[in-house]
Amino acid sequence: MMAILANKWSISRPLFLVLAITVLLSHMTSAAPISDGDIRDIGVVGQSVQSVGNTPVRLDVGISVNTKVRNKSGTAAEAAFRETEALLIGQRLRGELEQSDDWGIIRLFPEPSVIPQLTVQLSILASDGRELVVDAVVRSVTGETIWSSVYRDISVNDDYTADKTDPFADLYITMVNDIVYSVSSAPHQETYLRSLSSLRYASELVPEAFPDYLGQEAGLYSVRREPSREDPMLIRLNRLQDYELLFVDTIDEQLANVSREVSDAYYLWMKSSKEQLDWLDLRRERGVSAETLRNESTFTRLQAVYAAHRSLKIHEQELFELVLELENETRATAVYANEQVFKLFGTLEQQYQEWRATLRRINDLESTL
Amino acid sequence: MTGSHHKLWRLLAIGWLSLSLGCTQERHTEAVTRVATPVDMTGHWEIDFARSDNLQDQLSSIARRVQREAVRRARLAEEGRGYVGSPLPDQSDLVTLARLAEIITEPVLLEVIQNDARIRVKRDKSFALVCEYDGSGLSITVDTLGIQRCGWDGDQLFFVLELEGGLDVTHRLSRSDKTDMLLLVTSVETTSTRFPLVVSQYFTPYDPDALGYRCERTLTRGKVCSTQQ
Repeated sequence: MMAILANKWSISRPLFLVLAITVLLSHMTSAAPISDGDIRDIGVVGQSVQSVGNTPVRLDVGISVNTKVRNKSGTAAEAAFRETEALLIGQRLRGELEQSDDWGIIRLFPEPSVIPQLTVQLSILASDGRELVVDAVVRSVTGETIWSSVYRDISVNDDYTADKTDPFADLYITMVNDIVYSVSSAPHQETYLRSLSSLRYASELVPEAFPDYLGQEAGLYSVRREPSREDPMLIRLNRLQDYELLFVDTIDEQLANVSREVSDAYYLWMKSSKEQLDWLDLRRERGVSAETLRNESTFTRLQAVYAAHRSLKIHEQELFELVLELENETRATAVYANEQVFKLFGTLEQQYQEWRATLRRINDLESTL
Repeated sequence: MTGSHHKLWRLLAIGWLSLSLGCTQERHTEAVTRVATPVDMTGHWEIDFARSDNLQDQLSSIARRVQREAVRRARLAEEGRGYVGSPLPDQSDLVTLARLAEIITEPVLLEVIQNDARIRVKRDKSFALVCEYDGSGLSITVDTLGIQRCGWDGDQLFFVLELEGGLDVTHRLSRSDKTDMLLLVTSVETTSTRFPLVVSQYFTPYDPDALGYRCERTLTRGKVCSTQQ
């Protein structure tokens, strides 16, 4: 396995030296060819990246994922699969973060949220079983981007094992190490960030709430002053925030189910896809040779192509159809909140938007009482 | 080898020569000439061997056509008239075509799942033929090893698969008006020969539950059969 990072941001703050050294060692930098794009190349054979350990503060983390993987077939089935794959990758990162008990609550959000003190936005750039490329941006609720890298991992045959361990485990471990590293160098304390989260959430849901409490300059947010804990509006907005998290957790249960259902098929698809890509490369290397063509009968050549196509199609179709079935099942969500049952329909993003609109309506109703 | 065989191979050689003199080949493209009028093909279908083509017969038939074409081209050549066209397949090419066709037309059970935007023709022992359509006529999907074009040509559903290496497979599905029957016509050809081997297979409806058991091929467990209540 080989992981390559393209670091787009440099951290100017004083670094926690010991941790930094640990991180660098864990990356096992082999050649470190720094190119014009500040690319750190981490050559790792097998899955050998080690976790650096604990994060110093118990921050809540919100992961949001989108996919930018080209829909090669152009079909709706592949589009649905890529959306589901993004969620699987988000869940995978969460699992890796949860290896440490020192984080707060780690959730997967349908879109970036200001509720957690730390957000990790992932964009899947490429994924074909042989290569995984993920752009990760880590932001504090202050608005500051504290880490951003493009992670690229290439699987080798040995990464696909009988016990179906993740062939791209190194990528996630490296990413988590970087997140720990970036958070440990961030200046703000947990309490301050929680206050800021609360104010930013209030401001997003009800812009007129606490207008003078939240400072904003050059895209960075700060707490000017804090409202009283007994403030009725704050109490109401905190309750609405809990409702929003209730929705996120409900969705999360659905995603966990999707993940369980799909993971085996996804693993086999990745393996099959990698095998086909490797076979194709090998064949193209050999196929250009006229001598090879003479030595290989037409039937053998064409039969091999058809068999390879059939094999990948069977794996792909089983996965895509499974994803489509599960997607249809998760098109509706029921949430019990405020002594009512709310039914939400559509895509995850649509349901999230609908739920936030519902929360605003609840706030409007209650604030006029 | 008999004299007639010698003659055949001589004619085939002439055909081959005509190619080497500069004929270029383009891959087959499916022309859609009719407005899409999709028909319902939903259901389970099993092959009717009695009505369907026998591959051996098709191979003999194509060999006769090749022979006739070779004679015609030889005559043109003797008359001093040049000929521009596809090279004729030799015996080895025909056997190759037949063996490929045997693999491609192996499925004997179909399950068609269809709605307004998508049709999926599941085939036993093979991958499903899937077409998503938006009314624009032709749907193109690009895979690692090839390109698939599909759509409705009138009331016929077609799939054209162009695979890397020069293998072209065309499937055309149509449903009979009079009898409850599905016709799957499969054409297999290679870019080196351009002489398609066409196999027609007829399918009739069947009730999978009536068998008393049902088998499904799953990715994780392979072929799984269960008895019906």
